[in-house]
Amino acid sequence: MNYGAELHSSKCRGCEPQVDHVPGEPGVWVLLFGDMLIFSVFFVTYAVHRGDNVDLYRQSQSHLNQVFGILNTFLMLSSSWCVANAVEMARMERTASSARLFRLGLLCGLCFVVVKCFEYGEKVRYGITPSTNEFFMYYYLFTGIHLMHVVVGMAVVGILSSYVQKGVIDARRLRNIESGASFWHVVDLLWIVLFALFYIAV
Amino acid sequence: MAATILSWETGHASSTGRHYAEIAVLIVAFVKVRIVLMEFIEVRSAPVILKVLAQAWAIGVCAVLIAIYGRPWW
Repeated sequence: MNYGAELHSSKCRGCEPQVDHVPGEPGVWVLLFGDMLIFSVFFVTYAVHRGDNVDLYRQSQSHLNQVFGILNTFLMLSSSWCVANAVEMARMERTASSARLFRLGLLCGLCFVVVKCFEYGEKVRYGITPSTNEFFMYYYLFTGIHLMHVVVGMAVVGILSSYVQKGVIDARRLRNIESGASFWHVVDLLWIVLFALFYIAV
Repeated sequence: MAATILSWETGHASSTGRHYAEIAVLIVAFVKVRIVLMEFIEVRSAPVILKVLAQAWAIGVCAVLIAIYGRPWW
Protein backbone atom coordinates (compact mmCIF):
# COMPACT_ATOMS: atom_id res chain seq x y z
CA MET A 1 0.00 0.00 0.00
CA ASN A 2 1.30 3.42 -0.84
CA TYR A 3 1.10 5.77 2.09
CA GLY A 4 3.52 8.13 0.42
CA ALA A 5 0.92 10.35 -1.16
CA GLU A 6 -1.01 10.75 2.06
CA LEU A 7 2.12 11.62 4.03
CA HIS A 8 3.71 13.87 1.42
CA SER A 9 1.68 16.93 2.33
CA SER A 10 2.76 16.68 5.98
CA LYS A 11 6.46 16.05 5.28
CA CYS A 12 7.67 19.61 5.70
CA ARG A 13 8.84 21.69 8.63
CA GLY A 14 5.94 23.29 10.47
CA CYS A 15 3.32 21.89 8.10
CA GLU A 16 -0.25 21.64 9.27
CA PRO A 17 -1.93 18.24 8.91
CA GLN A 18 -4.17 18.00 5.89
CA VAL A 19 -7.74 19.33 6.19
CA ASP A 20 -10.45 16.87 7.32
CA HIS A 21 -7.85 14.88 9.20
CA VAL A 22 -9.09 12.87 12.17
CA PRO A 23 -6.41 13.11 14.89
CA GLY A 24 -6.03 9.37 15.43
CA GLU A 25 -8.34 6.42 14.84
CA PRO A 26 -12.02 7.41 14.56
CA GLY A 27 -12.90 4.51 16.88
CA VAL A 28 -10.70 5.99 19.61
CA TRP A 29 -12.75 9.18 19.43
CA VAL A 30 -15.88 7.20 20.34
CA LEU A 31 -14.08 6.26 23.58
CA LEU A 32 -12.74 9.78 24.14
CA PHE A 33 -16.15 11.40 23.70
CA GLY A 34 -17.63 8.76 26.00
CA ASP A 35 -15.06 9.67 28.63
CA MET A 36 -15.73 13.39 28.17
CA LEU A 37 -19.46 12.76 28.59
CA ILE A 38 -18.90 10.79 31.79
CA PHE A 39 -16.81 13.60 33.20
CA SER A 40 -19.52 16.06 32.14
CA VAL A 41 -21.90 14.14 34.40
CA PHE A 42 -19.30 14.47 37.19
CA PHE A 43 -19.01 18.21 36.62
CA VAL A 44 -22.77 18.76 36.59
CA THR A 45 -23.33 16.55 39.65
CA TYR A 46 -20.74 18.53 41.58
CA ALA A 47 -22.24 21.86 40.47
CA VAL A 48 -25.79 20.83 41.40
CA HIS A 49 -24.79 19.66 44.89
CA ARG A 50 -22.65 22.73 45.32
CA GLY A 51 -25.71 24.87 44.64
CA ASP A 52 -27.49 23.21 47.56
CA ASN A 53 -24.74 24.15 50.00
CA VAL A 54 -22.60 26.92 48.56
CA ASP A 55 -21.22 28.08 51.91
CA LEU A 56 -19.96 24.61 52.85
CA TYR A 57 -18.31 24.21 49.43
CA ARG A 58 -16.65 27.63 49.53
CA GLN A 59 -15.44 27.09 53.06
CA SER A 60 -14.09 23.61 52.21
CA GLN A 61 -12.48 24.93 49.04
CA SER A 62 -10.35 27.26 51.14
CA HIS A 63 -8.64 24.16 52.59
CA LEU A 64 -7.36 23.08 49.18
CA ASN A 65 -3.73 23.83 48.42
CA GLN A 66 -4.03 26.23 45.49
CA VAL A 67 -0.27 26.18 44.91
CA PHE A 68 -0.50 22.44 44.20
CA GLY A 69 -3.49 23.08 41.96
CA ILE A 70 -1.71 25.73 39.88
CA LEU A 71 1.48 23.65 39.76
CA ASN A 72 -0.48 20.65 38.48
CA THR A 73 -2.23 22.77 35.85
CA PHE A 74 1.18 24.03 34.70
CA LEU A 75 2.48 20.42 34.57
CA MET A 76 -0.55 19.16 32.63
CA LEU A 77 -0.39 21.97 30.07
CA SER A 78 3.38 21.55 29.70
CA SER A 79 3.10 17.82 29.17
CA SER A 80 0.35 18.35 26.58
CA TRP A 81 2.56 20.87 24.80
CA CYS A 82 5.41 18.32 24.76
CA VAL A 83 3.15 15.58 23.41
CA ALA A 84 1.67 17.86 20.72
CA ASN A 85 5.17 18.77 19.56
CA ALA A 86 6.24 15.12 19.72
CA VAL A 87 3.45 14.32 17.25
CA GLU A 88 4.61 17.16 15.01
CA MET A 89 8.17 15.80 15.13
CA ALA A 90 6.87 12.33 14.24
CA ARG A 91 5.08 13.81 11.20
CA MET A 92 8.38 15.29 10.10
CA GLU A 93 10.01 11.87 10.71
CA ARG A 94 12.28 13.41 13.33
CA THR A 95 11.74 10.34 15.45
CA ALA A 96 14.57 10.93 17.94
CA SER A 97 13.23 14.41 18.77
CA SER A 98 9.74 12.99 18.95
CA ALA A 99 10.81 10.29 21.42
CA ARG A 100 12.59 12.89 23.58
CA LEU A 101 9.48 15.09 23.68
CA PHE A 102 7.25 12.13 24.57
CA ARG A 103 9.63 11.29 27.43
CA LEU A 104 9.58 14.92 28.61
CA GLY A 105 5.78 14.86 28.53
CA LEU A 106 5.90 11.62 30.50
CA LEU A 107 8.17 13.27 33.08
CA CYS A 108 5.68 16.13 33.50
CA GLY A 109 2.95 13.54 34.00
CA LEU A 110 5.02 11.79 36.64
CA CYS A 111 5.56 15.10 38.45
CA PHE A 112 1.78 15.64 38.36
CA VAL A 113 1.27 12.28 40.10
CA VAL A 114 3.94 13.09 42.70
CA VAL A 115 2.35 16.47 43.45
CA LYS A 116 -1.05 14.78 43.80
CA CYS A 117 0.40 12.27 46.26
CA PHE A 118 1.85 15.11 48.33
CA GLU A 119 -1.48 16.90 48.15
CA TYR A 120 -3.58 13.94 49.24
CA GLY A 121 -1.03 13.11 51.94
CA GLU A 122 -1.16 16.66 53.30
CA LYS A 123 -4.96 16.52 53.45
CA VAL A 124 -5.04 13.16 55.19
CA ARG A 125 -2.50 14.37 57.77
CA TYR A 126 -4.86 17.25 58.56
CA GLY A 127 -7.66 14.75 58.96
CA ILE A 128 -9.40 15.69 55.69
CA THR A 129 -10.67 12.51 54.04
CA PRO A 130 -13.43 11.60 51.55
CA SER A 131 -15.84 11.20 54.47
CA THR A 132 -15.14 14.68 55.90
CA ASN A 133 -17.96 16.30 53.96
CA GLU A 134 -19.67 16.29 50.55
CA PHE A 135 -17.18 18.69 48.91
CA PHE A 136 -14.21 16.52 49.89
CA MET A 137 -16.02 13.37 48.81
CA TYR A 138 -16.36 14.83 45.31
CA TYR A 139 -12.83 16.25 45.43
CA TYR A 140 -11.22 12.89 46.23
CA LEU A 141 -13.55 10.95 43.93
CA PHE A 142 -13.25 13.07 40.78
CA THR A 143 -9.59 14.04 41.10
CA GLY A 144 -8.87 10.40 41.99
CA ILE A 145 -10.62 9.10 38.88
CA HIS A 146 -8.76 11.72 36.86
CA LEU A 147 -5.49 10.60 38.47
CA MET A 148 -6.17 7.03 37.25
CA HIS A 149 -6.58 8.48 33.76
CA VAL A 150 -3.22 10.23 34.19
CA VAL A 151 -1.53 6.95 35.11
CA VAL A 152 -3.06 5.17 32.09
CA GLY A 153 -2.10 8.16 29.93
CA MET A 154 1.47 7.97 31.19
CA ALA A 155 1.64 4.34 30.10
CA VAL A 156 0.33 5.35 26.66
CA VAL A 157 2.85 8.21 26.31
CA GLY A 158 5.64 5.92 27.53
CA ILE A 159 4.73 3.36 24.87
CA LEU A 160 4.60 6.11 22.22
CA SER A 161 8.13 7.24 23.12
CA SER A 162 9.53 3.91 21.95
CA TYR A 163 6.82 3.15 19.33
CA VAL A 164 7.77 6.29 17.38
CA GLN A 165 11.26 4.90 16.81
CA LYS A 166 10.21 1.33 16.03
CA GLY A 167 9.77 1.66 12.30
CA VAL A 168 8.91 3.82 9.31
CA ILE A 169 6.45 6.61 10.06
CA ASP A 170 3.69 5.56 7.72
CA ALA A 171 0.06 6.70 7.90
CA ARG A 172 -0.96 3.84 10.19
CA ARG A 173 1.84 4.50 12.68
CA LEU A 174 1.07 8.21 12.66
CA ARG A 175 -2.62 7.50 13.28
CA ASN A 176 -1.73 5.34 16.29
CA ILE A 177 0.56 8.05 17.65
CA GLU A 178 -2.18 10.65 17.23
CA SER A 179 -4.69 8.38 19.01
CA GLY A 180 -2.44 8.07 22.05
CA ALA A 181 -1.66 11.78 22.04
CA SER A 182 -5.36 12.66 21.80
CA PHE A 183 -6.08 10.58 24.90
CA TRP A 184 -3.40 12.51 26.80
CA HIS A 185 -4.79 15.86 25.64
CA VAL A 186 -8.30 14.86 26.77
CA VAL A 187 -6.86 14.02 30.21
CA ASP A 188 -5.32 17.51 30.18
CA LEU A 189 -8.52 19.32 29.26
CA LEU A 190 -10.54 17.41 31.86
CA TRP A 191 -8.03 18.58 34.49
CA ILE A 192 -8.50 22.20 33.32
CA VAL A 193 -12.21 21.93 34.22
CA LEU A 194 -11.55 20.14 37.52
CA PHE A 195 -9.04 22.83 38.46
CA ALA A 196 -11.61 25.55 37.77
CA LEU A 197 -14.39 23.79 39.70
CA PHE A 198 -12.42 22.72 42.76
CA TYR A 199 -9.38 24.93 43.19
CA ILE A 200 -10.22 28.46 42.11
CA ALA A 201 -11.67 30.14 45.17
CA VAL A 202 -13.61 33.33 44.60
CA MET B 1 -0.59 29.84 31.02
CA ALA B 2 -1.86 33.42 30.84
CA ALA B 3 -5.43 32.16 31.04
CA THR B 4 -4.56 30.13 34.15
CA ILE B 5 -3.11 33.22 35.85
CA LEU B 6 -6.02 35.35 34.66
CA SER B 7 -8.50 33.06 36.39
CA TRP B 8 -6.57 33.33 39.70
CA GLU B 9 -9.27 35.47 41.32
CA THR B 10 -9.19 37.21 44.65
CA GLY B 11 -12.30 37.44 46.82
CA HIS B 12 -14.99 39.95 45.97
CA ALA B 13 -16.91 41.85 48.61
CA SER B 14 -20.37 41.58 47.08
CA SER B 15 -22.16 38.29 46.39
CA THR B 16 -23.07 39.50 42.88
CA GLY B 17 -19.43 40.31 42.18
CA ARG B 18 -18.51 36.87 43.47
CA HIS B 19 -21.08 35.28 41.17
CA TYR B 20 -19.73 37.09 38.12
CA ALA B 21 -16.20 36.11 39.11
CA GLU B 22 -17.25 32.44 39.31
CA ILE B 23 -18.75 32.67 35.82
CA ALA B 24 -15.57 34.34 34.54
CA VAL B 25 -13.52 31.47 35.99
CA LEU B 26 -15.70 28.93 34.15
CA ILE B 27 -15.50 30.84 30.87
CA VAL B 28 -11.71 31.14 31.10
CA ALA B 29 -11.50 27.39 31.83
CA PHE B 30 -13.48 26.53 28.73
CA VAL B 31 -11.51 28.98 26.61
CA LYS B 32 -8.45 26.96 27.70
CA VAL B 33 -10.31 23.73 26.88
CA ARG B 34 -11.04 25.07 23.39
CA ILE B 35 -7.39 26.01 22.91
CA VAL B 36 -6.33 22.46 23.86
CA LEU B 37 -8.94 21.06 21.45
CA MET B 38 -7.98 23.32 18.55
CA GLU B 39 -4.21 23.60 18.95
CA PHE B 40 -3.02 20.45 20.72
CA ILE B 41 -5.58 17.91 19.52
CA GLU B 42 -5.79 19.78 16.15
CA VAL B 43 -9.56 19.53 15.97
CA ARG B 44 -9.45 22.66 13.78
CA SER B 45 -8.24 20.52 10.86
CA ALA B 46 -10.59 17.64 11.67
CA PRO B 47 -13.73 16.68 9.75
CA VAL B 48 -16.74 18.89 10.43
CA ILE B 49 -18.52 16.28 12.55
CA LEU B 50 -15.61 16.03 15.01
CA LYS B 51 -15.18 19.81 15.11
CA VAL B 52 -18.88 20.29 15.82
CA LEU B 53 -19.07 17.57 18.49
CA ALA B 54 -15.94 18.76 20.30
CA GLN B 55 -16.99 22.40 20.36
CA ALA B 56 -20.60 21.52 21.20
CA TRP B 57 -19.31 19.57 24.20
CA ALA B 58 -17.19 22.49 25.41
CA ILE B 59 -19.88 25.13 24.87
CA GLY B 60 -22.66 22.90 26.20
CA VAL B 61 -20.92 21.87 29.40
CA CYS B 62 -19.77 25.45 30.03
CA ALA B 63 -23.31 26.79 29.53
CA VAL B 64 -24.87 24.15 31.79
CA LEU B 65 -22.33 24.82 34.55
CA ILE B 66 -22.88 28.59 34.32
CA ALA B 67 -26.65 28.02 34.52
CA ILE B 68 -26.29 25.76 37.57
CA TYR B 69 -23.91 28.18 39.30
CA GLY B 70 -26.50 30.89 38.70
CA ARG B 71 -29.28 28.88 40.38
CA PRO B 72 -29.43 30.97 43.61
CA TRP B 73 -30.22 33.95 41.38
CA TRP B 74 -33.17 32.40 39.51
